[in-house]
Amino acid sequence: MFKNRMLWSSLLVTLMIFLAACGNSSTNSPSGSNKGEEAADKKVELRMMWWGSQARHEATLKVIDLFEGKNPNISINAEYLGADGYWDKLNTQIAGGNAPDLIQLGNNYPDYVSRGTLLELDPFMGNEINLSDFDEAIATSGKLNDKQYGINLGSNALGIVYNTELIKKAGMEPPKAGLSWDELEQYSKELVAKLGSGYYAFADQSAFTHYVGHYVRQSGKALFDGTSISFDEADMTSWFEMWKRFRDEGIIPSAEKSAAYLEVAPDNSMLVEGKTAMVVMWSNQLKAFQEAMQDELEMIPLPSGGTEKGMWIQPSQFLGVSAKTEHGKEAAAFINFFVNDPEATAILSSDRGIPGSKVVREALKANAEPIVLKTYNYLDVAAEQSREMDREMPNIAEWDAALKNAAQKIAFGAASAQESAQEALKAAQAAAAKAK
Amino acid sequence: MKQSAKSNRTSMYLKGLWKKNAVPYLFLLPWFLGVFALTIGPMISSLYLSFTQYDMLTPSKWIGTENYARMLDDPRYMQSLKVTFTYVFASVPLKLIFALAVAMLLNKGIRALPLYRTVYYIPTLLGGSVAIAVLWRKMFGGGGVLNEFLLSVFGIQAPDWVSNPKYAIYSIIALTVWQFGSSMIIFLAGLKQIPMELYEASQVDGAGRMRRFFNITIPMLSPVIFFNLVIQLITAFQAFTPAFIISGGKGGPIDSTLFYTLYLYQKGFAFFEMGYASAMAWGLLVIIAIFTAIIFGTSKYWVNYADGGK
Repeated sequence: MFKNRMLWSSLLVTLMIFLAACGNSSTNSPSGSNKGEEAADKKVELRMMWWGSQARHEATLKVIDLFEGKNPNISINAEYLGADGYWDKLNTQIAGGNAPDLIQLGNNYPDYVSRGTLLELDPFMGNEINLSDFDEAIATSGKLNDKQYGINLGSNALGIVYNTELIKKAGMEPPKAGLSWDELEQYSKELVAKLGSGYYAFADQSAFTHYVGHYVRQSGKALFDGTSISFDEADMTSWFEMWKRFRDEGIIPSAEKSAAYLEVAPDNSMLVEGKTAMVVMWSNQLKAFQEAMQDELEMIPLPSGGTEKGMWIQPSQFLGVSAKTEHGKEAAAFINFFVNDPEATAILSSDRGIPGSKVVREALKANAEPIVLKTYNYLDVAAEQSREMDREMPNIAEWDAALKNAAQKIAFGAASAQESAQEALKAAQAAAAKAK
Repeated sequence: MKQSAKSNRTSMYLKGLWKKNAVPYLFLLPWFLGVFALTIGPMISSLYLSFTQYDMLTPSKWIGTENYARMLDDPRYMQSLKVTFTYVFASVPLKLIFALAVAMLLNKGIRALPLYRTVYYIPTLLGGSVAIAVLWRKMFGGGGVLNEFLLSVFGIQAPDWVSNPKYAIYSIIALTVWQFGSSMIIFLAGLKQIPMELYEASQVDGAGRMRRFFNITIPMLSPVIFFNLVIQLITAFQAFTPAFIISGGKGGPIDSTLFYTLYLYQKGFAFFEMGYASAMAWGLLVIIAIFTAIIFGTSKYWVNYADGGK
């Protein structure tokens, strides 16, 4: 019997150690970096990583095939996933000394430059990479401290997307481009009254970072002015109070509904379900939302107000090269192919935003389907309402999480607008301070 | 002299042991390699990292115990503790009670026992998967199956269980309790070990159902309960997947499902604070160790071994 108990307890202890240690095992993928000093006739292998939708994955893979066909000595291994978890995976790979050679980045690329993970592309500029067809502002948008770290893949602008059918159903005229915050509120009240219960004028986007950015920019401020946080508690409080009023008036969905419908992708959207008439989104998302629903969508600029223009044209995605790559030249050649080659750019279309090259843009516009053309036209409209963009807040993921919490606390009645404003501001300052 | 003779004897002894056990050790080698390379190694490096500031991309910087000190006045850390404790202390007892109840039902000598056993075990096999967490969201969400049912049958307008900060954690607890299969199988095995004579004798003496349950089943089953409790507790403290999927990886709404491990993950992989995350991991280890020690320490008062624990 003694033996029996020994067995039990040793089993217990072993299991305990095993279980307690489980969480710690690392998940480095076994594929190491390429061995250096390869013979010239040997194949160069590159890895490329990006985030996006299924449509983007298919298009990008096609372009990779095309490139490999024209450059038989280079092969590119693709790693792609949705936006969720992209940065976690990228950070883990970089930390493991296993970064992909070609990295898709957002406006957070300075976070990676400051940590020394991106290759300076200047030696390739004018050689492997040719941006002569690019608009000057777009070409330099990948520059930090006068050095090129990324090549822009597309520009976007925020806007209000609305469901034309739902508005027709209410018997109203579509919202006018350039309407003010007040006009939007009045319009929405009427819309909700006419549509009846279960319908909402627009989505609760009080926790949408860039929408907040637009709001504070209208009073000449910025979320981040390049060195520090440049909005104050009063700005945040009035922003939150405005949204609280919208909620009380019933023109946006309840706290619960808003927590369930994120409105960042068509598969989780009351706009797509035909219950919400307006949602703020990036112009390159219009196509995906339109394809998910029957009712026709249109896009107008964000609400106007304040003393200055709040909007901006955002060069939103970049292709950069890992500082650890052993094949910078080949990677640069691929980037050039990606942004300039007529066939490749035709396949990629405007999924990552409006391309920076004038030549590519004209070619795409000539053959564009109506919904893409709508995006192009919208960007022209948005440009008139825009002024120069600000640098993105460093460590923005942290502020994003805090902003969401702060906004939800108000919605669920767990905090006042002012308390949440303080919380959000503190988080922003902490995120920015960490970069120093 | 004496000393060296002793050490000599020791080395002789070890040599003999090696000769005798070389082959078994050889067989154990893959396991040892796994433990050292994949478990002990990373554990030691995470212990080191917990005393550093490390953003994963630039070299780590020694900052002593600052990470641990910061944990104490980090409100989100405290929130994650609260969420995790709520989860552990609600889900573990519920799950064990549920598992025991089902095991006792299945122990009644019903026909097609293997079938039932398998059916009830299925949730455990599926439970950790992403698909189930997604399904759970659909079931307990605003227009989900549960609310449709409540509305059509009872006319109750129920809240969105997943998106309401008051209830979100309970929908995750329900998901965990539903995966009672592995505990149930162990309980069932334990129940089958209890000699029938005990029940027969007590029945002759006029003991009722309740009496038999509390005076025979529970004491006789206590080693198995003990085992299940320890295992479930350790697993529950480390819960991650359901919260990650159901809350979209954010621990929301308002951090109401911010599990310890979820916050750890966020800090490490999204906020570039791997040092802090490592410190959190060691904090969790200490917490689990304390609770495991408490259970072990109290076990002599409530765990009965048929042989008197010898």
